[in-house]
Amino acid sequence: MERVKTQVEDIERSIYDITDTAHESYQVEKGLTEAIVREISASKNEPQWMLKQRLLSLEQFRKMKLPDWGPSLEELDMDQIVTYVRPKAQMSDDWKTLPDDIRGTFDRLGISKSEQDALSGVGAQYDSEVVYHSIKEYLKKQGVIYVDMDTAVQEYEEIVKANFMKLLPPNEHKFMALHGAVWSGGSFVYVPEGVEVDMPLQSYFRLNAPGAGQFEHTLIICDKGSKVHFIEGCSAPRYNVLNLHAGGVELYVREGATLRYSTIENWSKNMLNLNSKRAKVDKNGTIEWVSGTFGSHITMLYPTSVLSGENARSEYTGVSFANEGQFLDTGTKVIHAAPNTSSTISSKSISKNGGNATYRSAVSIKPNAKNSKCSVVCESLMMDRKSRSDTIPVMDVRNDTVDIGHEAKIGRISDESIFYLMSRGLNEEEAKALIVRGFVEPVTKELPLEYAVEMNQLIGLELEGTIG
Amino acid sequence: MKLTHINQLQMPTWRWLKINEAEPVVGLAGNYNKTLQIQNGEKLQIDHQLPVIDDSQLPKDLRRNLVFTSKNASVGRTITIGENIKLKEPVILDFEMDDKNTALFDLIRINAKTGSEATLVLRYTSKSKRSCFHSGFTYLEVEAGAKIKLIMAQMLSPADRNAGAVAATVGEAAAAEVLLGELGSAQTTGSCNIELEGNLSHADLDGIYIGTGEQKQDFNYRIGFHGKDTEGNITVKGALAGNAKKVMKSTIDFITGASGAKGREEETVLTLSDRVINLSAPLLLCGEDNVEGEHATSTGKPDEAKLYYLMSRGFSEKEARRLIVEASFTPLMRKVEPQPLQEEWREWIQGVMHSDA
Repeated sequence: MERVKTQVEDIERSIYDITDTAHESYQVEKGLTEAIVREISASKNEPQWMLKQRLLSLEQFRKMKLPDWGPSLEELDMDQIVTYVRPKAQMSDDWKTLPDDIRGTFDRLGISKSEQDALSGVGAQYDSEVVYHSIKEYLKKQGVIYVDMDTAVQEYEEIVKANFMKLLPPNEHKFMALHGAVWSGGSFVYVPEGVEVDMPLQSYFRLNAPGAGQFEHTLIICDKGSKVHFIEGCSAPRYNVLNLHAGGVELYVREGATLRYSTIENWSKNMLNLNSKRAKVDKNGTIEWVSGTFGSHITMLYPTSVLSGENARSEYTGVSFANEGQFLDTGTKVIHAAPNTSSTISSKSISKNGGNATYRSAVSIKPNAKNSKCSVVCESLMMDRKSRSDTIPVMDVRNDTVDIGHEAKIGRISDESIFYLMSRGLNEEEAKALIVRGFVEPVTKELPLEYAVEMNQLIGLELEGTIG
Repeated sequence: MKLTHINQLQMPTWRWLKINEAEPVVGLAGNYNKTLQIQNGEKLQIDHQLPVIDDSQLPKDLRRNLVFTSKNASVGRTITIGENIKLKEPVILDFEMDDKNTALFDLIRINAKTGSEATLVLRYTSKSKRSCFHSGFTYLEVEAGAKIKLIMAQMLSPADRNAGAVAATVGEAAAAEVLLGELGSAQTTGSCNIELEGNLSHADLDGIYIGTGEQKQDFNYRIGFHGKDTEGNITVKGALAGNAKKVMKSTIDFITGASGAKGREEETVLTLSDRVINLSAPLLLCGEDNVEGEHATSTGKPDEAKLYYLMSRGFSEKEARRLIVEASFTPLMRKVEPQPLQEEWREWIQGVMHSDA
């Protein structure tokens, strides 16, 4: 009998690939020099400490080498990257005031509609600057701050200064240093003690300019006992030159607070996505990472949880879909640095048509993290032998009162599962569809309905023939 | 005399974890002039020349082990098990270091011809008041239809240093069972690489380690799946006490074309002290869709309920912990032969538990 492969459709990208005619109002020269860093800082009228921080980061960037692990980044030529592109739009809290094509882009991506239906606030970044930012009035009255980072640096300077790049030290790796030198845009969120934000906040990052980099910075502080869900979305049209994304996300989860940080990343396949995300979680606090990685040429992304307070908790739920020409190296790091901390990691990946999906993780249990627990489950689906799927987990345990379990599985859809479902009355196609939907369900179920639908649309599934 | 860049993780990861390769092994000067005693080797063909090993298929880091051992070799043998020869009794190669023989470099090639069956035991001990050093490379070729069990018993003294490596290739419908007992020495780097080249070939790579005092151990185990319908399992049981540090890298590697392959790796670690350092990296690498691969790792102290039960039956806490560790090792200990060696391991583990756990 001829064996026919299970088919998984490519992601439908037509909406994302529309390029805008809007040209930038200003951009720096290609490459990375001290003059460019000073120019970016001056154009934002930044305080001296921020310029100093940028220059220190630049120095680190020059000293550091590209990572000698993971996918090769040799094709990245910083001399060809434009690190700052200012769009032809002023920051606004009214979609109507934006230029038609920029507004049209965000309309097509469904951002403005989502704002009306399901969000507490929206930030929209276009190239290097935030062009739209708003928050519901009743949240403002409760003291919730949701502004673009440039505004935060000016209006909340002391808070920003105390926390900025403290979780992402520029000497840690080359792309943290790069981010520290040329960051622009992004969002600042402060949720006061005891305030629970009932609907999510969302920032959407759109990179339109070819050969450009986007380096937005997200800084979120959840004060004691507060709760918020923050959603980050990213996309860009496809060009035949490399684009670079090296954003930075710093999350402070204070005592008893809960922060869910969800990302649906759908960069175009000419993008190097080298993002850095880290959360520090205090006593009884919770960080929940929900991560869907679909786009980009190369992604290296490992959201990190530092569980620094007793009973702090982290959850990571991630799915990645690697197609032709994609190398998605994703995963997470968890540092258990206090007693009774706990973490769960659930990772799923699908590799297809020559795509390469790597799950990489590090779980570090420090000597003082007594009675800590960690559970890791990762599963990979291989759709053909042109593709690759690798699992590279490391556990570093330094006390004897821990409970760590790690399980991983790799393979294709099993015949037994199909037969079982068919014995329960489903036809073969329904059975296959159910299994693949079930495979990514741990992530979709963690998203608000609107986003779960979007993600299901991203993974269009077409199943035919027998599994083979 | 230094052996560097060995036990490398096949796919490196973050440098800060310090797991990508083992710490350098510093060799100790000395020699080994004893004649190698081989028990039950009457039916074997034994060549006393230093074996020449084709290293073209070996991972880079393992080549370094080979070169290091070859250059300094004090013992070299090629052991051939003839076609369809089936040995009932284990063949035992006994290496014992003492005050006059403090540095052993042994290069052993075992060629199991088609249809042969045998168990080989390489036993390393030391009875010296001085620190001894061992570097060994064992190359196992299991030809079509052959079944070979290789038991490596490393029982060196607490002041010794050890760098042992095993490389194996397994032919069509052949089976290799490699059992590594890493019980002694102050510093150990141990590696084992098995390539399942033939269709329907099979490998079990089992490891037992116990770390106590200030012991440092770095292990790198891998099974590469090349042939169709191959099956391979890595099973490791360990216990760590005192200030011991252990790094375990284990890799299941499905090469494109290994259709129908099944691979499993599992490590169970019992930690008996809050000062131990325990790193594990169970890699699952896959370039073929029609495979089944899985790994599982669990780390923790002995189960409280089991401890309580045993103590309620009159055992002291120390005894109860020893029994739990022994029970954890039992599935692999049962594979150790001959019986006296199994008893020797059991006593060794009991002794270590008695003194340190």
